[in-house]
Amino acid sequence: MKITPEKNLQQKLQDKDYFLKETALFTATGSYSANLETGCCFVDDMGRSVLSLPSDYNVNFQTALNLFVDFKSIWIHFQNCIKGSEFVEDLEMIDHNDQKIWMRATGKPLYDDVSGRVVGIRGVFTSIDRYIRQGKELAETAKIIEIQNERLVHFAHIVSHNLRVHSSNLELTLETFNSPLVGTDEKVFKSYLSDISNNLSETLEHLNEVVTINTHEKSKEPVDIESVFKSVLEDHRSLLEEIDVSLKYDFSNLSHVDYVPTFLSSIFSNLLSNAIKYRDSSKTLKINVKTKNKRNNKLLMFQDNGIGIDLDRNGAKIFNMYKTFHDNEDARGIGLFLTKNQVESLGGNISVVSEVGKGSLFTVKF
Amino acid sequence: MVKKACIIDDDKLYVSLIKMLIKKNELAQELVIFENGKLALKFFEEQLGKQNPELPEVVLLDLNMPVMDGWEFLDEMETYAGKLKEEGLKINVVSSTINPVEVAKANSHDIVNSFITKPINKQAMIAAFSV
Repeated sequence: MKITPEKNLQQKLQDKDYFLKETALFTATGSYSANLETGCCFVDDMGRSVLSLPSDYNVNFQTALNLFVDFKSIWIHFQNCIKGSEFVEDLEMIDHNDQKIWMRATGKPLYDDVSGRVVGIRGVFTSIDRYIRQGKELAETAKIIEIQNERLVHFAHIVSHNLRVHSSNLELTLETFNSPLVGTDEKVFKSYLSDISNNLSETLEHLNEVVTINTHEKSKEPVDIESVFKSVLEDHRSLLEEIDVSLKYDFSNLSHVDYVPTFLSSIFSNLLSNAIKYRDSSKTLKINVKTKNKRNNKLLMFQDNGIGIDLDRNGAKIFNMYKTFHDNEDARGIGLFLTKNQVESLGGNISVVSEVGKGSLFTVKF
Repeated sequence: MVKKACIIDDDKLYVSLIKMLIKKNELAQELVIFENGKLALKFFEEQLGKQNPELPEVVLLDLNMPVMDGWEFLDEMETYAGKLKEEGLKINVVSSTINPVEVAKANSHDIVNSFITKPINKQAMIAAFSV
């Protein structure tokens, strides 16, 4: 039989083997099989390349399980496969360089033609690591955006509420003094206007502080925590000298942190002045400040034995603006709100545990 | 004219303006004023414990206050809802908030008569005091 050159070309153009190899290469898809009668395991060149396995690496039932992060679950999949059920799963594998890679893998039983028993398992696997990672990054970004959005809404409510207070007082003043002013009325009227003006300016200043925290370019630099703390102590020296206080600090577990120096100083200052303001005057004020470096968590812990906060009642609101929980003339309810904004604007968080009569422990996660 | 009215608000300026408005428009004979929910609650609980409580007929309650805010005050007062209704007490929430969630929350309270947005004007005052 004579084969024409044209037909030969057409055969080449439809060669299944070629396209199979090309597909495997293009999608980085490896193939594997396990012979249940001999225990022999096979991983093709593409599969070895995906997992960075050397060509002489011996794959058997034992070593194959080492390639999976969760070998128990893959063991169950293979067991089920032997019983006749197929699987398609997203799995995390470990390559020869100890790198974890997300894979999509299939497994199908191979039946003996005569006995009908399952005599082998065959399947393919392809790396989906890039997509899983992108998905995770996306989820993280979405979370950050959600948190920022929440803060923005909260801030919008604060702005609207705090400005309305003054505009409404202004309207009320005009309504109250809507008839011609006689006698002392003019003096009262003017003093009210001046009060409103002062309060408004103060509110704008507070709002400005918050906006500044959240919008300004924040340049982090290595900060020596102890030296910042000492300078804050110096600022409060006259206050501290007046009261009965025992102060301990230990920054040996974490002496430096990448932070905005003025933020750290302001955080210390707020926590310290709160501890002083809300101390239990019947006993020595004990303040204990330390840092911790636990795995990926860099923490600052600030503990006092003050009057404490009823968190059941005030827990959710303690870091809100203009929230004060004690009868205290100096309480402005702005400090912890600013502290929270500073900490969060740098990607950290602040929390508190407290008991009435025992004291409070503030934890800042840098 | 109402015999006795009560203002619970920490904004001193607002309180003195309301006082003047009430006086000018002859809305109440007597005023009791508290700067936070806790102080007001103490007064109400004392009065409610008496045989013949001398309760105000109208209450103007702010929401954002230190120590105990308006919400907590309402929650505490809810326990006396039956007695308060018997006495014909009208609690009006007066706040600068325009957050619809908060407005709905205030109105959902059994003991709340109405929600008034600050600034409270003369008409709203007269309506609140018309018992």
